[in-house]
Amino acid sequence: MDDRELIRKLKDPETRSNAFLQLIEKYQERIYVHIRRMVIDHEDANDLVQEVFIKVYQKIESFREDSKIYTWIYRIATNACLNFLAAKKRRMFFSLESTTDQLISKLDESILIDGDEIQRKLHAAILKLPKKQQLVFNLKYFDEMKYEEIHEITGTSVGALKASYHHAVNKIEEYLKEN
Amino acid sequence: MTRKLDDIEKKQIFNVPDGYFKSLPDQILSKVDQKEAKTIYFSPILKWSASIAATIALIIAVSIFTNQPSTVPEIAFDEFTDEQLVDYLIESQGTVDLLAEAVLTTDDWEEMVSEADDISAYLMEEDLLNDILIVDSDSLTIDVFN
Repeated sequence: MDDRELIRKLKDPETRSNAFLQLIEKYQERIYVHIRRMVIDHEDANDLVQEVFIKVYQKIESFREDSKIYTWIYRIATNACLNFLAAKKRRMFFSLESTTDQLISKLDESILIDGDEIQRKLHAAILKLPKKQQLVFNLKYFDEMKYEEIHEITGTSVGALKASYHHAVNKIEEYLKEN
Repeated sequence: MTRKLDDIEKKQIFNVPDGYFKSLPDQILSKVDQKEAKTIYFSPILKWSASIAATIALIIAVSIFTNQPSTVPEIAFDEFTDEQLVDYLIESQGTVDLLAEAVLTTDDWEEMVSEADDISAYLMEEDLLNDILIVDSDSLTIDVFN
């Protein structure tokens, strides 16, 4: 079933439940990984991915179809991640360890993360980036999205996205050189 | 030492527990069902009835308020003898003590304000404020789940 048909069925109360199940099965893995790259911890990613799909279900009537449904879901997921990380940062205001350092230490500690040292170092470098650059880099490098699709998710102009990606790559390579 | 992105193999390093993506859709669907079960729906008739009742209550409250005397009559202490005042204070001692206990100290007030700030800060942090009351303009749905 293509996305247009899926949306039609999602908006019809008679077929909504079945269409929603298909939507989850189609996009759960991509959305989960997108979230996990930003929050690192599996339990946090699990909570957020559920929250995201529940919001999708609740707000499907307001989806205007002027973007693709998966970029709309990515947008909801991205906002959920940014809110989660901002709340975490506020909670850790008096902590000696920064939120970023805590996330980086999880890269080495979590049993649900593999990959060799250089791959973990790459993710550490990504976590050191400002959130916007982090987001653009992940969507472009890992998800191999077009800038136009990233524009639908972030609302940032294609020119600014290209600049962000360029800065991100430079900073990552600088980090890899120094560490 | 690797310095370029191109030298790194692009690989997914984040694993999930066995069977995670098989069970995730059911977990999400059960939460959606729970949320729907705890959603209070107001029919359009109930919505209009509530609006009319609230308007009538407001009109009554405003008319009562505007009919109140604008000034409280002043009573000069000179009109009472010392004896009458002493009798009054003796008789009303209990009440006066209760009132004195009920008066908030500055510290009490600061503590109350601080607690209120903590609660709203917690709600903001947990991003609950938006979720507490979701009003759907079409059916006036109030979500009380969160």
